[in-house]
Amino acid sequence: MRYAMPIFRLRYSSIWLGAAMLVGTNIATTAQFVVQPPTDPNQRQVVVVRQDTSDCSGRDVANTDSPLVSGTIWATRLFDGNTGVKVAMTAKPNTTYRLSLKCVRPIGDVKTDDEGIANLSLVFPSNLAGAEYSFELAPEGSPAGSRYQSAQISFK
Amino acid sequence: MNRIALSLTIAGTFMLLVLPTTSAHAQASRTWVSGVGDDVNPCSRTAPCKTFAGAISKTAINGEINCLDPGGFGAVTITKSISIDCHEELGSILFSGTNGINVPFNSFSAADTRKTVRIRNLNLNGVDTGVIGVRITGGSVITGGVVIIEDTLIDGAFAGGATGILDERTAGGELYISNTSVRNTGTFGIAINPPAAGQRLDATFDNVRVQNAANIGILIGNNGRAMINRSVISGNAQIGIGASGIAASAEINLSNSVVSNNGLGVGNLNGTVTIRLANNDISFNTTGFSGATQSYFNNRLQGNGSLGPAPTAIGSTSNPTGLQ
Repeated sequence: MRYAMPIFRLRYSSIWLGAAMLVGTNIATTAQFVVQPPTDPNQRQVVVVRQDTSDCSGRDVANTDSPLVSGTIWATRLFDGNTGVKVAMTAKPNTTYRLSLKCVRPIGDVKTDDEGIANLSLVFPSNLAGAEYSFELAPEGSPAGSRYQSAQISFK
Repeated sequence: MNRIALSLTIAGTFMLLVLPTTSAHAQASRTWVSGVGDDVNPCSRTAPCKTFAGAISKTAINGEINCLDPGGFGAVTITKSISIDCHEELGSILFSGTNGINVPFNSFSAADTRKTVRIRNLNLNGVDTGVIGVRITGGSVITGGVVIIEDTLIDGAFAGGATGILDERTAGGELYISNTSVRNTGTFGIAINPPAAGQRLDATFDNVRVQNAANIGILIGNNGRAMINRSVISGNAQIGIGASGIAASAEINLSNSVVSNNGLGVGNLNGTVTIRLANNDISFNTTGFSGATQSYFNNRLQGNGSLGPAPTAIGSTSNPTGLQ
């Protein structure tokens, strides 16, 4: 019994610690009015930022809004074994950007119009990428300062 | 004589070398953009720029960018006191997958004492994939700041934050919106929603139309104090107008306006909130009210699916205008 008590104390401590962390988390996350819009569980939405390099999975690209954000990518896992990708970006006018699955292969081209706007939808086989991946958009020749990286898309 | 000639030659050569360099870096008080301009130009009337982003670096603090002819002039990040005004010409910004206008006050120079941004006569279209039409941030470095938005249309922001106008400043400031429409957005139409407690953020909206937000038409959050007059808040799926004072108090005075055809008309959402209503039509909402609100004796609250908690009467019954 003398040895059992500390174990019980430890368990109660853990429960209180967990409860405190939960309350803390709730306070932190409710400091701003946040809306959770209905989301498709098979869809992920990430930002595309003007940045020349990133790691293959896009882990080092923050999926947050900032003046560096130049586009948005939606990836949707389809039931036929493909993944649908929708790209919307605002960049240099009249420029063709090669869209690549980062560190895998190019999957299409997206061309901006006279005002720098581009929209593209395409599909690729889901088994081309793992559960975590990212995209890169680079123009012909890829001069420094002209590439774009997406944040990580994770279906884990 | 020879010495004088030599001095004049040296001085002349010096002027020739220095003058072009000086003029290349000079910023004009007024610059121009044109649909057929080019950003390598000086943005003068005879050699206009192509985009607002190209023109802003050639425009002096407190200067003005105008539109020479109709066109789309691209998304822009504003980091100094400036006016962008396309009066008499269509001045459009398409913002696909990104924000239309960023105003990060933390990037303003300390020498920029006015810290005032004026956006007039613009048409911002997110082409269904826009993130935020006008995003105002800052506070940790530069306090205060004034943003004035007049005669502007914002439409089609359904990606990311999916908001027409979002003010997230934590160190206070002023936001004035008049004669402006914000419609078809995925989250908020207009939101004052700083992430934490800070200083008072004062907003005045006059003749503003906020329609078809998928969540809340107008949200006033932490530190926000909004005076809203002569406005129409309609067709917003979840809530027409609401206040949330979780980290700091939020306050709304709504007068002479229409709140109709929303899921919930007027919402005291949570936290420390005061909502005062005077001379409004609040009708045809699924539910009229949630939480505590205050009403002068001259609001018309008919035709809602259900009223919800009735507003508390304030003012005098003998004075139907609600004047004290």
